[in-house]
Amino acid sequence: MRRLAMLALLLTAAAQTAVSVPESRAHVAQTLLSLPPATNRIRFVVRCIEENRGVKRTLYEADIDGPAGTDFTVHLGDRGFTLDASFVNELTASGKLDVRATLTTRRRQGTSRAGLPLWEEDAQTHRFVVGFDQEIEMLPFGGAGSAGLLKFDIVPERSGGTGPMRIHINDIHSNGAIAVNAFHQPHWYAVETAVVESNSVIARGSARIFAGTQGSLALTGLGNITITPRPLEHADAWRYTDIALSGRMFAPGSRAVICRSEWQSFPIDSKRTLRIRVAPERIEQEKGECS
Amino acid sequence: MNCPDHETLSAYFDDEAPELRDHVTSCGECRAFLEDLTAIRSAVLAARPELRRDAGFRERPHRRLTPRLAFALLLLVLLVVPALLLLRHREQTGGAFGNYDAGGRAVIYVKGRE
Repeated sequence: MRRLAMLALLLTAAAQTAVSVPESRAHVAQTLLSLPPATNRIRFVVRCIEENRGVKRTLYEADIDGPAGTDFTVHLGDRGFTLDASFVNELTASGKLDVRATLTTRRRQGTSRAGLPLWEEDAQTHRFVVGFDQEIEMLPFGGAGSAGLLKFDIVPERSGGTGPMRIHINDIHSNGAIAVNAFHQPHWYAVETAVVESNSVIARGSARIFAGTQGSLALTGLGNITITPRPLEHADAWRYTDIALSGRMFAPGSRAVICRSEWQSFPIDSKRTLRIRVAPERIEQEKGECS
Repeated sequence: MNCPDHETLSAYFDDEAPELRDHVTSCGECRAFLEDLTAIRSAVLAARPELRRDAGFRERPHRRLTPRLAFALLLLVLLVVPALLLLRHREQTGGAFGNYDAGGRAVIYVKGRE
């Protein structure tokens, strides 16, 4: 509750926000805040279906209705298998959806001699354009097993809805083994860098980088630096951003957690310092609490 | 007829080689060996009378696996052991969705609306 209250406080100041966390069984979860008027509202129907000998049975259904840019995750899991899929969606100028999907599956493969569980893990990333006359089909197990085929149908539609983001969950037969979360998070980050030597800026660079993707900035005299910004999963995602740094002056894949929209310094050598500011687009930040 | 070796005579002494009866009856050398064995046994039993109890052990009929019993045991091993192994594997790896699992890699694609 305290976390929700804090989240609400942060979201009040945000121009583009909303979060919705579903619980088990049918219910309607609403955000605590009102969103700005939505001009491009989208509905996603996420349906988990079992197909066995031509007979279809819906195990789970989630109906998400929110402004363009609404993202969602799908989780399916039992003690022998887990699927975690995330869908980051953007509405393109041509009126289609630009979907970035990541799929991570883990399959139990037995137990080690030391009695520890052994897992087979697979991670995939996909990007595709989906029209509103199309749908996404996801097969967690790749094909049909002895009980039939289990699949997720994800159907995007234009929505005439208004108000805050909504998600309606109908857990028909999964008994909590399937979960869908919907939320609104910044997709683009404005990244600025400056190299400082003796209190003077000797090089600057800036880039607009999509969350989770690698952006490159050229710094005069230092070469290129690549930065991958991504929201943090285990901290205050509205205040901090995780970044991965690579370049001649940093070890490949160096990681740091930085406060959003604040300048932060990373020493290059005894004389020079790299300063970085990562600001999510269209998100206003409360200031004064980062150190 | 040549005399049997001492091990065979020892078996005769234990009533395990009755076919030697005719030879032993007519062979003084073998009979003398058997008399020695009898004397040794008597001496041992005199010193350790509790060993006499074990004399009954030899008299019990031998239990031998009949072909039917052997087949039943084999069947039990062939059915029960794999079932236990399968159960153990399912315990370690299976779950509610186990019967949907084809063991393949997850697949995702875009298709026309049905």
